Amino acid sequence: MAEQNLDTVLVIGAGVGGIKAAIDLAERGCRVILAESSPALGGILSQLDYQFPNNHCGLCRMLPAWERDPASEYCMRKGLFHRNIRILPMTELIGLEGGAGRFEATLRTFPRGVAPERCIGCGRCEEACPVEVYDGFNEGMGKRKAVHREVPHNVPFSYVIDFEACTKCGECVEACPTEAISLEEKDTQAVYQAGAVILAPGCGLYDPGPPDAYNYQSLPDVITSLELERILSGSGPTSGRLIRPSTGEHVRSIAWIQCVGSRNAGRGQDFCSSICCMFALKEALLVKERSPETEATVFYMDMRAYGKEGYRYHLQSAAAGTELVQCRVHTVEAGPDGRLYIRHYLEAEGEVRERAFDLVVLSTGQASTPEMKRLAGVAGVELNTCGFAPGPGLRTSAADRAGVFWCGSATGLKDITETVLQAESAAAEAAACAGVTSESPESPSPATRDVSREIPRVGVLLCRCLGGQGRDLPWEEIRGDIAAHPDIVDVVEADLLCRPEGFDEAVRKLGGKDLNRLVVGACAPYVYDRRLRKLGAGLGLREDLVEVVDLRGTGLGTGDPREKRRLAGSVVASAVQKQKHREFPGTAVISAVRKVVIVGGGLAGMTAALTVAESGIQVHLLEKEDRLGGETRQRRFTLDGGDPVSFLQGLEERVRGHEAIEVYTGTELIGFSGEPGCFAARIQTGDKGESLACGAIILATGCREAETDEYGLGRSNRIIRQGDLEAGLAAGRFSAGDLGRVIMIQCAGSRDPDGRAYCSRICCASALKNAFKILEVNPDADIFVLYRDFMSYGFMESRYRELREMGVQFITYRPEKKPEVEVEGDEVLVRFQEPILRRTVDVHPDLLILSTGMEPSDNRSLARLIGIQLNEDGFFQEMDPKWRPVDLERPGVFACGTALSPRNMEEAVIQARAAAMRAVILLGRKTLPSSRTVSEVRQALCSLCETCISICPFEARFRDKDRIHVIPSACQGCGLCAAACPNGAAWLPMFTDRQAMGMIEGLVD
Amino acid sequence: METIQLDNLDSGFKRELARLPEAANLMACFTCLTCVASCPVAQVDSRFNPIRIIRMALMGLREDVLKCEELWLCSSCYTCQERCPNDVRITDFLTLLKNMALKEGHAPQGIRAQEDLVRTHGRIYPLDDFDNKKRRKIDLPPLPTSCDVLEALFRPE
Amino acid sequence: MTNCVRLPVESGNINDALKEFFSSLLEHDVVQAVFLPMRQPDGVMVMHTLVRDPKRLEGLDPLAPVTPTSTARLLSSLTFKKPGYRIAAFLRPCDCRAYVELVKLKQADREQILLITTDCEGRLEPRDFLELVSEAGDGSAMVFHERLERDDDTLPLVRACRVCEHPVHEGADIGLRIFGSDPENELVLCAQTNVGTEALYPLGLEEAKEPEGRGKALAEIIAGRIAERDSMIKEYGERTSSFAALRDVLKTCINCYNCRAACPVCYCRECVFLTDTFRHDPEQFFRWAGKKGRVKLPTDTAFFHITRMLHISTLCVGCGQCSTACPMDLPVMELFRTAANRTQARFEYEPGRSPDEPLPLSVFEDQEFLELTAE
Repeated sequence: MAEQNLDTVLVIGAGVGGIKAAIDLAERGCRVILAESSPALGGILSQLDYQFPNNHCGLCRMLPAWERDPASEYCMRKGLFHRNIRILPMTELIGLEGGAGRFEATLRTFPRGVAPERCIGCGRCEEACPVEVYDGFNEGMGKRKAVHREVPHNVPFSYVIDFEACTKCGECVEACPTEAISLEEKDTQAVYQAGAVILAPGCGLYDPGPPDAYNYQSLPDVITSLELERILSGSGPTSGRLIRPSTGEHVRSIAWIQCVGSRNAGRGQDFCSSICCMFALKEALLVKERSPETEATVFYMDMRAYGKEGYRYHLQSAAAGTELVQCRVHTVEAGPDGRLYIRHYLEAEGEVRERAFDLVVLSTGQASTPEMKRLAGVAGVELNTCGFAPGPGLRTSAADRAGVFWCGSATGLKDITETVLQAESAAAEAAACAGVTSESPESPSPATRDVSREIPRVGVLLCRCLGGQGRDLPWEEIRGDIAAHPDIVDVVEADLLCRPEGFDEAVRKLGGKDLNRLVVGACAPYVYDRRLRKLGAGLGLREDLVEVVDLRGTGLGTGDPREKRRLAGSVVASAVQKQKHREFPGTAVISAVRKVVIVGGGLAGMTAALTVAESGIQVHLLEKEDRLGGETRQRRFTLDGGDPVSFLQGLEERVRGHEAIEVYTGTELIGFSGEPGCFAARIQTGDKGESLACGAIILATGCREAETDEYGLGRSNRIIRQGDLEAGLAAGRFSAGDLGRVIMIQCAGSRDPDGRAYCSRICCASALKNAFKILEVNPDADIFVLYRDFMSYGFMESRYRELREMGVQFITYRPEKKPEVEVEGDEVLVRFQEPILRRTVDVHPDLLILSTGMEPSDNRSLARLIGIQLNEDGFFQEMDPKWRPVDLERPGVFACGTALSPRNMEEAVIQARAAAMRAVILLGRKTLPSSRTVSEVRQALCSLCETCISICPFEARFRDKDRIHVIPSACQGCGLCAAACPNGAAWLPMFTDRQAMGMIEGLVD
Repeated sequence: METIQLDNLDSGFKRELARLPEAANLMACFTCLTCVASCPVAQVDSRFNPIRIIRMALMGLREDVLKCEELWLCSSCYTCQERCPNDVRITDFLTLLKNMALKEGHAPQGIRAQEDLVRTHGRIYPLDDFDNKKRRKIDLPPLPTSCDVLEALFRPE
Repeated sequence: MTNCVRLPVESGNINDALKEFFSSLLEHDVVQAVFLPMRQPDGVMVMHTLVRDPKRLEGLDPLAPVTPTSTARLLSSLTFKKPGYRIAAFLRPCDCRAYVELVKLKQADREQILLITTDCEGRLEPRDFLELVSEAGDGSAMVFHERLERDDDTLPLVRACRVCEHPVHEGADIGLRIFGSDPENELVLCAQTNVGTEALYPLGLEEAKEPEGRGKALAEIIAGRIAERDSMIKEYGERTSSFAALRDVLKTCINCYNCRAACPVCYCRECVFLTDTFRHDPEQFFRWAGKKGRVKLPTDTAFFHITRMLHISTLCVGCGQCSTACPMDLPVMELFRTAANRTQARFEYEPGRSPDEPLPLSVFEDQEFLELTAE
C-alpha cells in the first residue's frame, strides 16, 4: 500500500520546527506527511502563551502568506489545514528503508480512542471518566481525566484517551452521544515513500528531581520555568494568578536559578542550553508587568543574552527592576517561616549571604530523550555524546545519512527564530533532495461553479442532536422561523450529522435544490471542517460558501424553550445575512518573474544563490568588490576544526560553475522598484548601467570586523584584534616566543549602550579558537581572557571547558570597571581588577588581543533605495524577528547573513538557505494568488484623503497620481483601512458593511 | 591590598599542581562560586574562601597561597567538593596545599607546635604520671608517657 | 513678530479701504486671484467670489455678517489639485480652521494660499441678514458691528457663533483686527506668519500697532462664549443621555443630508449613506416592521447622525453650517459640539490648530484607550 510519491517529504515531529518545515515544503509544492507522536500540534509552544517581543502567541505568523486555505485558516490552535500537508497525529516512525530520493518509511499510529470526525467536544465522556491522573499539559500541576483534551484551548475540542491510564471501564462509551468512542482500537501501521526525511522531534527538558539539592520534589514552591509559564498562563492551573502553590498567597519575591541541568560537566551535562537566560529575563519581565512590587532575582553564571537583540533585552529586563546576581546556586532550603532560603556569595561584599523567597524557579535546560535515541536508531543516524543531533557544521543540515535532515531543538535547545531558520533551511535541502520540480504545481482547486452572478439561494441544514442537548428543542417552530426568511430556499434537518448515516441523509436532502449558499447549524464549528468541504464540493460550492454556526456553543442548552427558539433563529438568521451579502472579489494575480537578485557575494550571498539556482530559478549575484567571498575570506579556521578557506573556494567554484547563476563583480544596486513577483533592479558596473527584472531580492551585504578606540588599538603593534591574530597565526607569523603571555579583552566596544549596543555573538568563539591555536604554537603560553559574560552557548561550552583545563584563565570584569591599557614604549601595560582576590593586577603581555566583534556594512543608502528599515545598530530590521526572520518589511525583499544579524558561518549558511527558500516559495508559482482577504479600493468613492495609507501597518497601500493602490501580497486583510475609511471606499470583500449590519440585524431584535 | 605583578608570578605553578591527583580538574574551575556559597566556614568567617585560594594558585601566587593562614580554617567537610559542577577536588586540593605549606615551613605557629608535640610524644596531648595516677584511682591501666618508636619514625634518612 | 499696517477709513466706509488693499495685492502680483465675499448683482446677498481682475472688486463686502455656505469647502474646490495661482482668500476663523483640516485630509492646498482672516464677531442666518440689509443697505457690516458694540441683544446672532470660543485664528497669514480697534477710522491688518509679512511688505502701507484694547476685549469675548458653550453642552448632554433620548431629539430628521452637504469637514465624495450599503431590500423594511409591529420611515436617521459623529466629531470646528442648512431646525450643531467636546478632549485634539498635527485616526499608539481595550 506504499504510495508512489517521490516529491513527498516526511516530517517527524510537529513542533515549531516540524510545522514550519512542513508549511514551507507544502508552499514549495511538495507533498508533506507530518507525523506527530502526540495528539496535538505545536510541541512545547502550545504551553507557552507569551513570547517576546510582544507577549503574544504568534503561532499564526507561521501560516502561508501567499495562499491561505479558505477554510478559517487564521489560527494554528484551530489546526493546520493545507492541501499539501497530511497530518498524522499519534504516529511515530518505526522503520526507514532505502535512501535519498527513495525512502520507504514505516509509520505506526496509536489509537486515539475517540474518533475525531465524530467527537463534538461535549465533554460528557470527561464527566463520566472515573480515572484521574496528573495533567501533563500543566506540567503536572492539577489533574485531568484519562479521556481528556491534549491542549485544552485548541479547537476542535476533540478528546483523546490516555490508554496508559484508562481502565477500560466503558463509562465514556456509554456517555458519548455520538458513539465516537471505542476502547478496542489497535495500532495501525503503514508504509510511505518519501524523497527525504526531516527529523524534528524536539528535545526534552531536564528533570530536576533527585539527586538534587533544590528540593524540587519536596518543596511545592520550587518549580521549573515551564511550570511558571503555566502559572502565568490564563489557561493554566491558577488561571494566570501569580500565587505560591503551597499557600495560594500572592508571590512577593521570586528567584530564578540558571543552569539547572546545564553547564555541569560533573553530571555529563557539558553544554549550555542556550535559551534559558533569555527565558528567565522574559519571565522576570512578565512577572514585573503583572505585579511590579514583586522582587525578581536571577542567579546566573554568565548572562547569555547573546546576538542582535540580546543585550538590549538584558538591559530592558534589568531596567524593569530584575536583579541579576552572579552566583551559581546549589541549595534551596525551606525555612521555619515556610519561605525558601538561598545562600549565595555576594562578590561585591566578598561575603556569603542568605535570602528568602516566596517562589524559586529552576531554569531547567535541554535533555536528550529516549525518543531522540530511538528515532536516531530507526533513522540510522548518529547522535553526539550528549545524546543530541550533531550541529549542522559548515556543510549542510543533513544528518550523516543522505536524505535525512535534523532541525529544531533535537540539535540543542533553540529559540523560535533559530528554529524557524533551521526548519526553512532543512526544508530547502529536503526539497532539493526530494527532487521537487522548479515550478510547483498550481494547487488544484475543486470544481466549483461561479455563483457570483446568481441571486442568493441559501439552504439551511440543522443538526438536531447538538451533543444530546438538542433533543428537547422546539425544532418545528425554529424551522418555521428560519424558513420565513425570503432568501432561504429550504431548511433541512438531520440527526447526528457527525455520523455517516446523518451526513449522507443531509447530502441526500440537500441535493437538487440548486443552492448557492449553505448555512449549517450544528455543534462547535471546525469540527466537521474536512467533511463540510466534501459537502460543499458535493453541491458544487466553494468552501467559503458553506457557513457553520455553533448552535450548542450559543447556550441553547440553557434557558426556556422560547429563549432557545429565539437564539437558534437569530444565530442562523445572522449567518444567512452574512452569506447573502457576501461579495465575490476577483483575487488579484501577479505573474511572477522567476529570477532573484542577490546583493552581496559573501558566504551568505553565495549560499543563497546556490540554493535558489538549484531549485531552477535564475540568479543575478551582485558583489561590489571585484571578487567573491566577502568578510569570510578572512576566516582561516573554525572552532570545530572546519576549513573555511577550502569551503569558500568550493562554494565559489560551484557558484561560478552554475549555469543558472550570473555573477556581477564590482557591481552595485542603484535603483529598485515594483512589487513582489515583478521588481525592476537598476545596477551599475563601473560606469555601465543595466536593468534587471526579478521577482524577489535577497540582501546579503555582510559585515566587517569592528574598530574600537578603546584599549589603545593602533597605538602598539602588540595590540591587535582577534581577526588580525587569526590571520597572523594562519600565516605562521608568531613564534612561541611571541606568545609567552597573551591577554584577550572581550566586548571591546561591544555591549555598550553608547557604542555598539549588541552582542556580536562570535567573539567568544573566536577567542576560544584562537586560544587553541596559540597553545598549538606554545603549549606553555599563559593566556588570560578578560570577559563580562562568556557566550559559549550550546555545545561550545565543552570547548570552553577544554581550554580552561589547558590552563587558560578566564577573569570577569564589570563594564563600570574596564581593564586599563597603557602603551609604554615597546611594552604594553594591562591593569585589571581581579574580582575574587579583589586586587589590582598589572601585566605586560606579549600580545593584547581585542575582541571588537562585527559591525554591519553601511546599508543606509541601500535601505533608503529599497524602502526598508535598519535597526539602531545598522542591521536590517526583520518584518517579524521570530516568525519571519528573513523577511523584511517590503514584501518580496529578504535578507540573510551578518547584515541581518551577527552570527557565525554555520548559522549564516542556515539563514542564507532560509532566505533562499522564502524567495523560491514566492516565485514557485507562475502567478501569485494573494490571500483571499485583500482590501480593495472603490475608486469612485475614494476622496484620496490617504488615511488608509497612513494607518496601514503593512505598507500595503500607496497613492499613484489620483488613485490609491493595494499591494495584494503585502495586505494581510487586517481591516484597519476599512475601519478608518468613512465611506467604505477602502473595504474588505469578505467583511463588508452589509454583511456586518445584516449579521447584527439577525442577532438583535 | 598591593597590586599583583603578574609578570613576576610562577605561571607554571597551576600546571605543576594539575599533574597531582588531588588537584585534578583544578583548572576546569569556572568561578561559579558554588564552593564558597555552600561552605559552612565561609558563612561564619568571611576570611575563608575556597575560590579565593584556588584563584591564587591558578594565578601563580605560589608563596602567598602556601603562606595564607585561611588555608588552615577549612574544616574538611567536603561540601564544596561534593557540589563542584566541574569535579574539582577542592577539599583534597586544600589538604594538598596544607601539606606543601608544612613541608616548606609556612604552617602557622599553632600547627607547628602541634607538630613538635607529635614528634616528641606521639600525641597532640602529652601524658605524664599525674594522668596515670588519676587513671589508677578509677582502676584504669597506666599508659606509656613516652614512645620509643618515634625516634625511628622521624629519623631523617 | 506681528508687524501691522493700517488702512485709513474715509467716512466710515471700510469696504473702500479693503478694496484698495485687495486690488493692490493683485496689482503688485502678490497673488493672482482673490477669493472673498461680494455682494451679488442683485445688490443684496453676499457670496464668496473669485476675482482675478483688480478692476472687478466693486461690491466686495468681506465683513458682511453672513456666510451662506462653508467657504472652506468652496476654497478647497479651488485647490484640491494645485491651482498654479496664488490666491488671497478671506475666511472667517471657523472656516480657516475647517480649511486646515481639509489640508490634512489632502482635500486642499495651503502653500499657494495667502490666508486672510478677521476677528470674528459672528454671523447671521441668511434670512436675518436680508432683513438687516433691508434696513442698513451697504453699511450692514458696520451697523452689525455697532449694534454688537452696544450689546443689542435683539440681534439674532447664530447660536454657533454665540458659543464659539475661537473668534480669531492665529494660523492665518494675515489677520484683520476688529476687537478693541476703531474701524470707523482705520482698519489694522497684522501679519501672523512669515508669508503674511512678505505679502504685506511690497504694498508699502503705513506701519501700525496692534490695537491696545484688543487683548482684553478678546479675553472677555472668549470668556463669555465659553460660558455659553458650557451651558449648551450641559443642556444637550442631559437631553441626549440615553439612545432613546437622542432618537427623540432627532425624530423629525428627513434624511435630506443637507447637514453633511453643508459640513466643511464632511469631505467624502459620496456619503456612505448614499451608497448601496444603505439601499435596503424592500423585504428588509417588512422584516423590521415584523419585529416591532411597525417602523417609521425614513429609517437610519439617528444611525446617520451617529455615524457622522463617529466620522467627523473629532474634526468639527463648530461653524454651525449644519444647523443653518437643516430644513427641520434640528439642533445639529448643538449635538455635534456636545459629542465633539468629549471626543476632541479624549484625543487631546483641536481641529484647525495646526496643519502639522496628525489626524487622530492616523496615529496608532500601542497603549491607547486601555479602559476600552484592556481585557
